[in-house]
Amino acid sequence: MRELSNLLQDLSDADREEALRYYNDYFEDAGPENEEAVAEELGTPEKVAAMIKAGLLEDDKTQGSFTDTGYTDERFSGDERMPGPYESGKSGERGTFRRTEEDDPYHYTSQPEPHKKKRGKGIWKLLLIVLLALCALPILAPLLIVLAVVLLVLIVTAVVIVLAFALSGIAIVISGILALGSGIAKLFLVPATGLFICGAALLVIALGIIVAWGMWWLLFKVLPPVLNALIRILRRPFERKENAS
Amino acid sequence: MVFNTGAALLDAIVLAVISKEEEGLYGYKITQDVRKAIELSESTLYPVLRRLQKDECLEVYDRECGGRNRRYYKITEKGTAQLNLYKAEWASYSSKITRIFSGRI
Repeated sequence: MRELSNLLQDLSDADREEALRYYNDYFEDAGPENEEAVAEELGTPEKVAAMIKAGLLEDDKTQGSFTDTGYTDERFSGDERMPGPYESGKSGERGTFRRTEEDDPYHYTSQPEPHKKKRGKGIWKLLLIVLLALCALPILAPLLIVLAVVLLVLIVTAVVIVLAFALSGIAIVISGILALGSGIAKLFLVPATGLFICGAALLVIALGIIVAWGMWWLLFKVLPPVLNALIRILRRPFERKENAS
Repeated sequence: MVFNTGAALLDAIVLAVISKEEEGLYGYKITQDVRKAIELSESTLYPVLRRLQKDECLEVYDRECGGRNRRYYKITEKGTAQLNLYKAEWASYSSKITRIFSGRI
């Protein structure tokens, strides 16, 4: 019941309360000795919640009514198939209450044939896809592994190159500092040359700092978001599969 | 059961079951009674009852029973009218089918 209550969170308070009330009553009236049997027959809370929601959705549509020509219901006329709220989870079982256009005994005027064909085609299509996937597995699996390895190598290479640049940047700064030291020493012997060396050394230090800082920025500010985006793209097909099942 | 029960027929069965009791019936009992006629999964009935209630074919009230309030479903005037239409429609429908089955056309 608690799970059902959670699953109905997106309904209005009144709707949720009423549904929970009904199922609570149902369990109480069935008696504690039947509790398990009832729970088993009701199915998972997800299924019950889906049924409640499907029933509520229907409320928005125009309801059927009797006329001189018999029972008509806007939901059943027209060519598109009913969403079939009662099919959820139970389809395929015999004798369950399924509400599809073909099954409606009050509506013989529509043509159920195209729907049946469509349904048959769907099964064949699925079978074909499964077969294709099986055939492609020996080729696809190595290909995917190779792709993953190539991707990994590319990432590692990029990181290593950036790191190398960063280290060389630091090395340039260090050599600049050393050059500055010798320049200052020269300043006392040959002032002109010393001044020149000092200027060049400062320039080299600045260059080294720019390179090192730039690489640092690439490594910690640019790479993580890029990697995150890559992971998200790679994960997408799997997530969709999870949702579908 | 070999034959599927359409929405209208299920509505009619539920209304008929509830109409038998002057004071109405509660969810569990309705399910049990409907199951005497057709196979029905336990989770099917709630949406049907709710819909009939929204269409004003049924009304609900709470009645004290064994220390707690039980929700009862009772047929309304509109529900009775709807049920009579269903019954008339069913009589003509089933007799036509029976005629064909018995070879009289």
